[in-house]
Amino acid sequence: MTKFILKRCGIAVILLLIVSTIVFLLVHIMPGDPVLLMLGTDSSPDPKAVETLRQELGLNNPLVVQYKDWMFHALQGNLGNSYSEKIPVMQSISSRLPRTLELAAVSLVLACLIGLPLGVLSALRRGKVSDLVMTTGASLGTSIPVYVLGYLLIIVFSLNVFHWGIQPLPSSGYVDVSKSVAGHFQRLLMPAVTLALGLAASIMRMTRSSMLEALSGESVRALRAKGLPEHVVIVRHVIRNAFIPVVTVIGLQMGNLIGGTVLCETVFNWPGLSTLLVKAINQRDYPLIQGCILIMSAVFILTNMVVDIIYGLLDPRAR
Amino acid sequence: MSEPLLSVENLTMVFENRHQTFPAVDNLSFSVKSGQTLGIVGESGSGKTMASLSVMKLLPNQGRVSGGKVMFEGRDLVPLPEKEIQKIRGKEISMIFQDPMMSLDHVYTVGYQIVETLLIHEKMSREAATEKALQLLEAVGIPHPKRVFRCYPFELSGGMCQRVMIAIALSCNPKLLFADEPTTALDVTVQAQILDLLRQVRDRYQMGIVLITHDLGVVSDIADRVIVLYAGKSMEDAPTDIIMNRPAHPYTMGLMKSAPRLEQQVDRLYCIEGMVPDIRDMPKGCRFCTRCPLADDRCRAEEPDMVEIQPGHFVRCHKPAVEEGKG
Amino acid sequence: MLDVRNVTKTFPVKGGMFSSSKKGVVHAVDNVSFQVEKGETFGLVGESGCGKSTLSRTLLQLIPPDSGEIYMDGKNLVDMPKKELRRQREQMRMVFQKPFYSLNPRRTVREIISAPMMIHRHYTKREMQAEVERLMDLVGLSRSYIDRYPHEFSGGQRQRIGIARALCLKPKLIICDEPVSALDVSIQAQILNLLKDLQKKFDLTYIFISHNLSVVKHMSDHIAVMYLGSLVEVAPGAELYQKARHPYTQALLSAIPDPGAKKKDRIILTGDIPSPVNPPKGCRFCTRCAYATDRCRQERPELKEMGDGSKVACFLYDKGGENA
Repeated sequence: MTKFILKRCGIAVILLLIVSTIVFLLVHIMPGDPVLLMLGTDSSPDPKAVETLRQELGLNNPLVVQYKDWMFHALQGNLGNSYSEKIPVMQSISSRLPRTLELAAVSLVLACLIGLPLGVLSALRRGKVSDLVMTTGASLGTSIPVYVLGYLLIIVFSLNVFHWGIQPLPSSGYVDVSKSVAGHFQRLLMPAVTLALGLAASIMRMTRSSMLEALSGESVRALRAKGLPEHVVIVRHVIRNAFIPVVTVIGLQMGNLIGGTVLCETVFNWPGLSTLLVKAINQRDYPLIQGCILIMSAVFILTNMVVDIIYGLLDPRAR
Repeated sequence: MSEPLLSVENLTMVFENRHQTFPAVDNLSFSVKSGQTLGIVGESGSGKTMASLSVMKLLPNQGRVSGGKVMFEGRDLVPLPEKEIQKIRGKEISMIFQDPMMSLDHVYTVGYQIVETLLIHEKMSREAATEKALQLLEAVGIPHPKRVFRCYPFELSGGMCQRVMIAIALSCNPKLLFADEPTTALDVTVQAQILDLLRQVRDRYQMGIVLITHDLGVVSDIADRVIVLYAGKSMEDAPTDIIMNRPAHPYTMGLMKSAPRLEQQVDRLYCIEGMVPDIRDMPKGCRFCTRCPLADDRCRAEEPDMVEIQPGHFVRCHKPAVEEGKG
Repeated sequence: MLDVRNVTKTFPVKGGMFSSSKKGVVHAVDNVSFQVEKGETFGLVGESGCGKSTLSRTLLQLIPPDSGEIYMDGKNLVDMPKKELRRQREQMRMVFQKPFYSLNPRRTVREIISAPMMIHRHYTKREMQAEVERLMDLVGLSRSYIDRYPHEFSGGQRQRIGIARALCLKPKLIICDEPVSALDVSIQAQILNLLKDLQKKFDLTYIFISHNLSVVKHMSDHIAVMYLGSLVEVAPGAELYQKARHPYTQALLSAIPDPGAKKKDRIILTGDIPSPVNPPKGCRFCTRCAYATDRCRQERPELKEMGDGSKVACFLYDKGGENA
């Protein structure tokens, strides 16, 4: 088992190295000159100033040298300085990363709380009306785009269109926990729910099909033949087997959440990594782009590594 | 005096969907005594598996028992609620299935799965159950029981898994064991070992065994009585050596003749022409009339009853092969 | 017609993505040699894991062997250039074990049977149609089924489709890999009779592989018994049954429950088949053999002629005469 875990860690490290190289290359292939953007594009800038800035930023060095420099610093934790914000990249990212992580984690937990039980139930009640309702709900959940759902929720809960007795939720912004716990969670709720609903739908479908497959296997018949009560058969054996592939899917979704929350963050004005990345790309802020993607990849790889290890714990065949 | 342990009377089992109902088992009757082995022989579609599943009420969702009685130790199992049947399954009546690799749960160790059965049915501590499980593993001929106890099913061979299944089935000293094609997925040499094991177990515990198979050879090896099924109905019911050497029903005779035999060398095998009729398309008279070499108009129009042509020998046929000088 | 010499095939068992050291080697086929005459049926018997399927695939060069030669009509198939191999392949075909899995579920019967024609030569549509119909008649399938899909057929019918596909392009040699194991007894008889009829009609040569000794004996002229990658006995069918020499063959024969036969003394083998990754050093069978001696555990016996057309690989018969 330990060997299994160590192997997974080793793979994670190698992946990280590969990803960072690819990111670096891609970023530098992109059209658009950061120097020009920084000096202003309306007037043709003074060539001397351009040259000086270029030299300063090390953009005249061959690509390999630039890569080496960046790598060297990155391994020490220094991802360089952002061109646009003039502050170290690490600082930019570290102020935003926890928020994105929080949003992702809460959404995922909510999605599991909704999706997993519904998936199990709809598999057990297959063919009945309740199953039909749940499956249709799942289809809706995956088809409604995040921005539609987000704005819908804002309309209903923030603008108080229905004039419910409850207090309307603030629709945007971010309040730190240290300042106001209630305010923080109030603002977290809607974006988390928006993301969670779409996720819950795909988790539910995955769980349902995995359960159905486990239920139709011969082993269920043999388990019942042993005289095990139905609930033991379902909980101890069927669910245990069915959840194994679902765990992988959930892990992958976590990765999506880290980088794919742009729309949600935009709708709710949630200051996370995704919006930072989009801004950086628009401004050709190389260090910031590289830094963001690197950190996102690191989180993704780490999560998958954890998922792999959990998979190994759950399924003895994988070890 | 030997009261039958299990007596199935006129059992009918059907598959249902919203539009139609198809009988998979039609008016089947058979009985088993303690210490006796009954072989149920039939090809695919004969209903043999469904019949045995009906006894323990392990039918798939679309199936249900629509008629008949299943008398076990004087009680009719058919109307029993699920909770009562669960007490019987695994404790009084056990079942082992065809593919042991598919029947065991690969996520739990072998030992856990045996202990689980014991804890459900008997009042004993986990330590006592573990001890008993180790004894069982040894009794079924598994070498290094302590090591195998901690193994997962996928780490073992097919033969070992089947032994584990037998250990699980025997754990609560059942009175009756159903074995559904227990050796079909195994190699010939392993098959011999498993059949030998079943024989020992039967003799030691005086259990009744119902062996379901399509392999006449297996049945001749271990069964005392044989009942031959075709398309959901019983065709012949007799002691084993009569079925093997002097069968009366044309289907049984056909089966015996179509199997290649080691001692003989023939050029062409005897063939039962045609195929089993579709469940929706059963002939009006005898089920076998579409393929029977002896079929006549009466066979096609009128379904024969199960008749005792000799003491202990029952046939469902208008034209059974009758011994000279008798019947 | 077919001369197989010293064919060996091993599969390495690696320790995972990062370890370059091999955990072991699976000796799937170990120095196997035999000859098949034109027009006869050569049977190959063995239990699961003995390597018979791997051997059949090496014969067709689907898996190239590590070493050895395979002569088909005098030409060595191993290391043959691809173009020539393709032409050779037209004459050597295979019928597979599981009728359900060996047919492409998304293709109609017509497409399945005519696939070889489309790959190997250029036929017109009309020619292909005529040929497919002819083949369906030969195997006893109604022509009306030509546009149906595999899942609409029973096991026996699917196997007939497989046989029709194998007959396409008029091969000389057909390898039947467990063609009837998945079928009911009455259907099995139909298919076996069909195979025999076709053999007579077209002067085909068969290699018939199965774990069922009764079926193999019924079909074959010569039978080879395989255990853990090597041949332990080769003999004419009747000889094998009456005078089985190798202890493994004897155990196989006695393990077969034969309906109607008298109750016999079983030779019950102890233990399971050893893993093909770590076969015993000497004779492969020594761990389960009742007659094993020290020599058996140290040395591997070779297949030796016994004088009456059979060959055995066992030290019990080493003096040339019969001992056991």
